[in-house]
Amino acid sequence: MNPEKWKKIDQLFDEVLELSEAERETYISEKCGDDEELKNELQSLLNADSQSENFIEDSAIKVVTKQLIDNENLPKDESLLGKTFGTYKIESLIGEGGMGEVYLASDEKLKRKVALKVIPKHYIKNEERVRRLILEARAISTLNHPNIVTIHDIGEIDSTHYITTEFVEGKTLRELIGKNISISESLSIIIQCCDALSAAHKAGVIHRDIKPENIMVRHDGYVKVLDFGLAKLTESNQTDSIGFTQTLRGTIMGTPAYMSPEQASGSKIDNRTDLWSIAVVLYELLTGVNPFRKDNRQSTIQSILKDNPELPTQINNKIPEEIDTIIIKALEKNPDLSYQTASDFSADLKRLQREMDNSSLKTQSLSSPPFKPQKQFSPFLITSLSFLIVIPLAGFLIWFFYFSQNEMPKTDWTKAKSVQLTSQAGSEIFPNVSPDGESFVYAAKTQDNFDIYLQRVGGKKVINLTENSTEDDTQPAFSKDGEFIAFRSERNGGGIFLMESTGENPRRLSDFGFHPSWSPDGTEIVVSQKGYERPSTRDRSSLWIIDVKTGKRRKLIGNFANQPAWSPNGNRIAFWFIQSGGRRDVATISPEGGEPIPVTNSANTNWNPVWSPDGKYLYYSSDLNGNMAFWRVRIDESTGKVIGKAEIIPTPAKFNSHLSFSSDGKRLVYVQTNNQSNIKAVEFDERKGKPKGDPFWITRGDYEILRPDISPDGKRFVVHLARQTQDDIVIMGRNGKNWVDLTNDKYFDRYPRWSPDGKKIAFASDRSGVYEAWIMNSDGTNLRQASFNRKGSTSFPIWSPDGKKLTYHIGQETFILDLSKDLKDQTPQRLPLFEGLKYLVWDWSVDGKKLIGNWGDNDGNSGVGYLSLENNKYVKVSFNKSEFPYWLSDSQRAIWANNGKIYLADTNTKEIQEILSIPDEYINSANISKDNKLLYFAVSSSESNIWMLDLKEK
Amino acid sequence: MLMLSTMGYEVTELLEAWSDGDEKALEELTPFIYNELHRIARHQMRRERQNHILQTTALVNEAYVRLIDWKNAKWKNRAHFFGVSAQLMRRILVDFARKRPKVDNNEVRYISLEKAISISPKEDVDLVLLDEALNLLAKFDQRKAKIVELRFFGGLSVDETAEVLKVAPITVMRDWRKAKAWLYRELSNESGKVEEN
Repeated sequence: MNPEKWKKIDQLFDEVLELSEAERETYISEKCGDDEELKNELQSLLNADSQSENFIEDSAIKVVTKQLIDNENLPKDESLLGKTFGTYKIESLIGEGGMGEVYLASDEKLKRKVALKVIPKHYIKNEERVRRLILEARAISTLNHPNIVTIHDIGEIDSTHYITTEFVEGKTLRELIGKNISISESLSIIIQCCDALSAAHKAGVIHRDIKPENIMVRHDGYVKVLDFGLAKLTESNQTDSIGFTQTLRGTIMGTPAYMSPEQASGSKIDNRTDLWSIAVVLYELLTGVNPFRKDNRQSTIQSILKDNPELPTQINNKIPEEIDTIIIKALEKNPDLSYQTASDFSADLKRLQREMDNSSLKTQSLSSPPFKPQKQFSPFLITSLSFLIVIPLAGFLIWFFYFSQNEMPKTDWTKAKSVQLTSQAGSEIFPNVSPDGESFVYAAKTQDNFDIYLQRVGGKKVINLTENSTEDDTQPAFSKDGEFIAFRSERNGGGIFLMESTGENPRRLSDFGFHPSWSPDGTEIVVSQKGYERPSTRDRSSLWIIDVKTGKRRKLIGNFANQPAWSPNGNRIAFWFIQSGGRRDVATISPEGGEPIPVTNSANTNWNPVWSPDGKYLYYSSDLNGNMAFWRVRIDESTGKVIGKAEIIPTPAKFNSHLSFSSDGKRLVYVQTNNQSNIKAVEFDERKGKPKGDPFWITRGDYEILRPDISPDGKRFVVHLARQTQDDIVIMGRNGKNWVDLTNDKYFDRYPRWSPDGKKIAFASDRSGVYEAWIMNSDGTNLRQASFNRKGSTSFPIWSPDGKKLTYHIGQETFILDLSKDLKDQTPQRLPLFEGLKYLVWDWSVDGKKLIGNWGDNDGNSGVGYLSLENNKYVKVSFNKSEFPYWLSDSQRAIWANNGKIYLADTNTKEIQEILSIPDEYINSANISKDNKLLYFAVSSSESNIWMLDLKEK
Repeated sequence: MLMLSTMGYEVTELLEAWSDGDEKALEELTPFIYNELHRIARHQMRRERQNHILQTTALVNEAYVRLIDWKNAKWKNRAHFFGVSAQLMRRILVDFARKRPKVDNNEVRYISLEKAISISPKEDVDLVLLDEALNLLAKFDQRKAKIVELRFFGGLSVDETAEVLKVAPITVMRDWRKAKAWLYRELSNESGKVEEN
């Protein structure tokens, strides 16, 4: 293909596409004339164009990770589990480190439990180096000390390197930090670590990677230090002399927060490096905080090299002062000035411990009781607002982030206590803190409209300030003296209203505007012309200033400007606006008007600007980082010029918005949005095949409840409850109350189904190491494994209507287990396979003859279908990808959810109808009770709650 | 020869070094990125709850953002930075695809729970073939090849690509479409093994 020819084709292509189908042929013939080649090229390209719409629309990383999941390169925990590796039988995965997985295995020869660490091949770059390091590891294995995890064996099997060590049952320090550890316990732990280090150093071995994850406390209180010298296995050393490293390339992946200054700067290290690291661990145990850790590697390293950390006693005044002295010495940047040996360090700690014993400081607990966020069931039935905020996807190479190295933030939000303030069902949004920081107002929807609520920080009582209003009232803003609240209301035609902070005397201020923000002297309010639902709005908006007394208004700026915030000293008004290319950026403008000055300038979403009370920082929400987080930047409030670079504020949530500050700047209130799924139900008219009456909530709260299944007697639900890091099976009453955990452990338990006699639950669980089918009684007793496939991943256990059989799915096949026979040894019957068709089954009809589920073929089509057990034929019912279908008890009709709605189908006539959809609510699964009278389903929603970062309380 | 820095190595510096022509930096980076890819895959499987496979762009973005520590004032300009990063990703991912053992369809394989539901996988793109085709395309239309590199390997949006290349977004969209058509045709011919005289 030569460039000239291509240019022609390029241009013709565009021109042809502008024409209608009918005109194209003639146009092409015209333009190409006799040039057959050109014509063919063009046409084949156009042809390809019609087929390539989805081609490479998924980015390459997505493709590769998908291939990893789909094909080989199986995650190790599935491929090794149950296998025998040399003389070791692998039982379960106990951890994942930076350089490979750790398994619990049993040594068949010596009959003991060991921890087996396998080092993935792609980690090791140089065979020769590996050999040398293995030699050194052997030297380490000769260390024999009660506080050092014993290394049993080092070797290579099937060209995979491994190390087995003593299996320690206990908790790592990472799990203990921040929990209630006494000072005395902390000292004792570190003292034991020093003993371990002392023994190792004497043998010429340096640990190099001391951190809380590498220190375990056994149930009997014994401390075990793990991973001695193993950090070296991934380093590429410039020099090979044992004990010294010139470079730190192996530390790319690890956290630098525990590195000594020598390590961080790439200098020679010796035993004192370990002493530094253990001192950092001590600091963190005592204060709950790492002294040097910042938001990114570079800053953390800088901090290690330059900063003097806050003294422990300043963070927690219950810590004895002697600790300060010890820490200061231990964290001396120049190793010659700090502790020279582990035993010296240990001696000082022991002395202190003895003193404390004598003056019985021992029992004082360090950390305040861990805050338990109040999660309550709201007594009100509050309907939710699907607060779906669209976050524009950013290419993962998009942002530049400059970190100012000279600016130290005045208040360190990383030390703030994070507190949940509201937990009602539904969304509480637009929080605004009163100037004294003791209470806050927000908008929430009850019944049909939004109202403004007042709540004390930390209190539970909630006062509705706009109770008498039947229209939406939102966006409340306290005046600077706290006496008045300005807000947006839809009453009487809409506008900005004013009321006293008790809710009394509401009066109209203007018939126009959203997002009121007060001038500091209280004489003016700036508003935006349009309100926003989400930062992805494209509404044209502008900013206006309204005189509070007269109601007169003047325009400040157009440009799609939105959500204004008046600076504390009155000199600037911050806002966000939409730029070309769909960017959203924050800027400031003088209240007198003039040119706005940008604050952010990046290809992502930046919005919701809020001034810090001293006017020195502008805070805003931004997804620069991949998730919607809070950022702030130092700014000159009189000119609007940005000083230095933006920094991120850590919060526990993924999606954060709507900041507000107390006037002393110590309390920051914001909205966290997270995803939920709750059960809703509606009565069903079986004859008509439609729901009747209004849907009502069964559960309502901050839960993720999936695929509820109702008991045969209709009295209880069993559900899959997705928790933070585990999935569990929970039973509850039909009214959504009286929850009982049937499982509550770190394993993932899913897809629970009632047996037809209502006495048992079948479900899928990975508790044996791989997903298998399990059965337990409906009270959680008699938990037993039902499938023993080991290799694959078994799932979706389904009961036969007589309760005697269980089907399950594995790979691309479905099997039927006979429950009356021995489960382990039987060869289950396999359901028929069909050429070019894959299917799974999800529900067995009451007449026992049909299994309904989902199917897919090689052309990318999918839908609902059923297998007829009578003639072993598969019948397709629908041709849309949908959720799992369930039979009605007439063994003929079925229901399922698809795209947020519920459908009912007659599997004989293949008629399908949409029978339920609820605006703003996405139905993610649907089912029906055995008597066909209750249609119940799970609804996804996004809920917003108000949280606070609190620097006031210590 | 990589310069020893006082800060210890970071991915960004390796990236820089690589763009200056140091191939060893690629060696350093590769296992690290492979590990991240594995980690993403494992993580993804544990997180799958609903019937959506790989609604993971956010997850992947997150992970990738973690991969690269983005503070750096040394780049000549954004275009330079993005260009180099996309190139690097292309190198690494294509190498990765090249080294993967072929799939053995007869073995019993782990299929994730949710994948069992979405039982209609589409054809996966062969990165190695795509890479070769892209090299061909670059011979007579550099800009289109660059756009594919930035968008497919770098993950940039149309707007972002437009900004980097300093053209209008509509130009990017048109070029992207044509490039896709051409590449699609190339790859179909390849895999269809059409014999041409």
